[in-house]
Amino acid sequence: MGTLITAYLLAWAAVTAYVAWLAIQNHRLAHRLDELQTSGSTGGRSIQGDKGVEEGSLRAIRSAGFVHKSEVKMPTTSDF
Amino acid sequence: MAMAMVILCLLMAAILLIFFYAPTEATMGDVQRILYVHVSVAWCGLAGCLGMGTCGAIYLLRRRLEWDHWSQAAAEAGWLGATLTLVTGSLWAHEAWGVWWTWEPRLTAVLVLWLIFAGIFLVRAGIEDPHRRARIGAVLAMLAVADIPLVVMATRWFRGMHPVAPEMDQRMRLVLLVAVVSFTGFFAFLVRQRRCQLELFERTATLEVQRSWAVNREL
Repeated sequence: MGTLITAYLLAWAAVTAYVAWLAIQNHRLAHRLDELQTSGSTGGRSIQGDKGVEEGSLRAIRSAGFVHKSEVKMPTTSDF
Repeated sequence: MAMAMVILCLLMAAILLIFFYAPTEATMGDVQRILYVHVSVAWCGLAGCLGMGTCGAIYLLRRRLEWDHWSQAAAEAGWLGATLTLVTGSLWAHEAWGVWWTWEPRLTAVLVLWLIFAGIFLVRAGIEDPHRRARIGAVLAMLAVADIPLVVMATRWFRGMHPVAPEMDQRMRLVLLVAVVSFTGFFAFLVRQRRCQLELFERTATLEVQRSWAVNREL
């Protein structure tokens, strides 16, 4: 019985580790997006022409994967 | 979110069936229940490899990074499946054969698959240009698919100790089916989520490059 429990616990641990790694990647992505947004709005460097396109892309990225500034619609360990 | 809940329910049902519905095997006892997760993750590992190779081939035909993202996501899920296959198989082997590892044909073929996955990740990590990375990754992924028949047929082509399609009780078959379906759903869900994440990373990287070009031009 011990071997059986060990097998299932190891499987659970490996899957949880992968999901946790995905969550960490989400945080990295959120951080990069925040930096991108901050440098675009407060840097005092108005990038005429590119800015509209860029902000449109940022909006698209956020709507594709984000519900809030640093909160992503991706699975976390609590989802499983 | 609804899909995640459905998959979670399926997984819970599979675990309950494995522990409380499936009959105890006469020779090995409770340890035989490892089989349900072992076969499921092994199937997911092979499906991940097949998905990686197929998406790689489609990338080579269409040259769209979207397919490389699918390929990479499938590779990661496949690698997770192959890792769990080796771990659960090793625990099984210790109980059944008295050793943690033996150079048995099927075990060796799965280890080769695991090493191929790891090698592809290492090669990909060393290439910065996304299209070059995708191209080389796709070729390696298609080569990796060649290991699938070896894993599947190893017990028939070579003489080894690994069981070949053992006779099973009707209830055992049902539980195995539920386990395979639920694990496949879960791994497919992981692949889909990871694919979305990779696409967002790619788009963010493109925006960062555009931003730095625009700033340099202004300066």
